[in-house]
Amino acid sequence: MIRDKVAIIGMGCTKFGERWDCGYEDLAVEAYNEALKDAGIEKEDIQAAWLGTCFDEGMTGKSALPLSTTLKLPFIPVTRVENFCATGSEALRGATYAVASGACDVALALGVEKLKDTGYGGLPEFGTLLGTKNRLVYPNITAPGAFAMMATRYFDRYNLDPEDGRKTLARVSAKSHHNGSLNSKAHLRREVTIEDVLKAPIIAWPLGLYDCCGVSDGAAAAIVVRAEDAKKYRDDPVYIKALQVAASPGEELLYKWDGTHVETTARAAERAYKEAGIENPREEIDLMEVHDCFSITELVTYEDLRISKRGAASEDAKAGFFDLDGEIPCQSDGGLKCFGHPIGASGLRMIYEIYRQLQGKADKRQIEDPRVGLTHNLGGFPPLSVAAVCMFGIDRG
Amino acid sequence: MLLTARTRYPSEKVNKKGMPYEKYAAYRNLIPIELGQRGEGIAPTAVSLLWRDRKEIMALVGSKCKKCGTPQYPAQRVCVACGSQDMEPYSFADKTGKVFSYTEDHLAASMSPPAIYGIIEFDGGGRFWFDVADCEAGELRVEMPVKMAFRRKYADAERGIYGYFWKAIPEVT
Ligand SMILES: [Zn+2]
Repeated sequence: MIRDKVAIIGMGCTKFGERWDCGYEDLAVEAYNEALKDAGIEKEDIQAAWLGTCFDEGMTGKSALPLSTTLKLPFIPVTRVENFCATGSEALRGATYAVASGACDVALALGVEKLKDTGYGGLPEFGTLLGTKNRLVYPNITAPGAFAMMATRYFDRYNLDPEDGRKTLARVSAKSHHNGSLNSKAHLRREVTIEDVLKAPIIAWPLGLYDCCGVSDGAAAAIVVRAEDAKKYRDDPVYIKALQVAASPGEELLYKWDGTHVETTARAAERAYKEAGIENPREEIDLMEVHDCFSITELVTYEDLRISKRGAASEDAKAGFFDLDGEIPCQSDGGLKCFGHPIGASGLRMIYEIYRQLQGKADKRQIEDPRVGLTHNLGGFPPLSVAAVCMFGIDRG
Repeated sequence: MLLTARTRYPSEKVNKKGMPYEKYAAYRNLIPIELGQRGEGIAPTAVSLLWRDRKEIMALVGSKCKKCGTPQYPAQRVCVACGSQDMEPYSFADKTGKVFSYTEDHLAASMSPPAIYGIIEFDGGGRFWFDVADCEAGELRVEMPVKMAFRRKYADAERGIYGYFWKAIPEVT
């Protein structure tokens, strides 16, 4: 159990967006500088680092080198991790376990991704990412297509005609766009109405343009120490309550799955709740940042996290349960919906919002006195995925 | 203009509506098409892999667990249902199935967008995602019955390699 053993004492997050004038290195340095300043430490204090990145190799390849050479880290141990969209959370997990074990006292986790240089919309082609055999047997599946298949099935199972289903999903996106409009670090900062969402071109039926998060450039970073040392650095450290990852064994796609939920999220969440000592998530969680790569993902995640009952997520969404002034604000920073999704950075970007909210530093988006926050990442396709569920609190238990 | 004469998998009835001429012309290289940057690069075909997994790819042979009887595609080393490693070959080519879910994908690089694909649940067990052929946008539904057909999957004109695989053919009424 990692609960209350480690605390975050500093974080940084770049503005996300089409950062045409910035490369991988600029983004990494921007997040790193803010985190260091926030923690009040120097480079020499960092004893180990974890880099999370999936696509850009920073001219040096799949290793620690893109980070160590960019920041000129002085021969300390640096590890690169990669776990699809859970990559940023995975970097924090490495750093957290390292300080918890006593192997080092201060560790850095940094997630960064430069995606816009591909020159086209959506994530880079999966072809090479998935291995040589993929092209011989897989359809040419894109991320929106993979998640759209969950929406088709969800609509069918709960007897939503496509119009009703799409309206429910539109409500989810419009809510996040409102939150993003209040956040200077978000990529997309305009209010979008339910009408706008419904009128937008279809990307992968039944998902339209505004049902999909964008692709952007960005980086985020965290500095962790053991919980007992945290107050030496700041008065308001944020304590890690749970870090859980679940990877598909493959049964969902090939054998046993209802097509309307994500099993890895449900499994990771149950373990995270146990680790954090949460019995009734709907009552005990104050805010969440979930992996809204697509509106349907956010909708089923409400159910997978046991916030909404199966099939009842649309009722909760329509009732405003997840709005900024609702019972459990979800995507208070605008989410992937407004930040876009630089794969390696997203997990840490979500944690950054929770961290700032718990410290009461979230500006116009500030929620009243939050104590416990949750982040959720989902990488891969719904039936073949890696999920991370992390929990944070401002009080040390 | 619609073309109705089509070469089909022998046991199938011809889809009465035929195929839009534009689609036919694109597949026959009669009109230039723009695949977009996403569709530009084609990685070399790993011929050794194609030879090693020839039954799986060319004949749609998966595995069936000898212990619990669960059919699975692609062939698994370890049974997805019970964990046994005692597996035997199992053919899916002749199995019928149903559309478990589907999408019409306008982002995917395709000779004739939108790319239509879905998760197919085989009668008798086994489930995987496949391209769906011989149907147009708006025609698919969850639970629609399908058969499998051996079709061209990609064309690597640069290297003169044409890849084939199995696609689901829905019984569109
Ligand atoms: Zn078995």
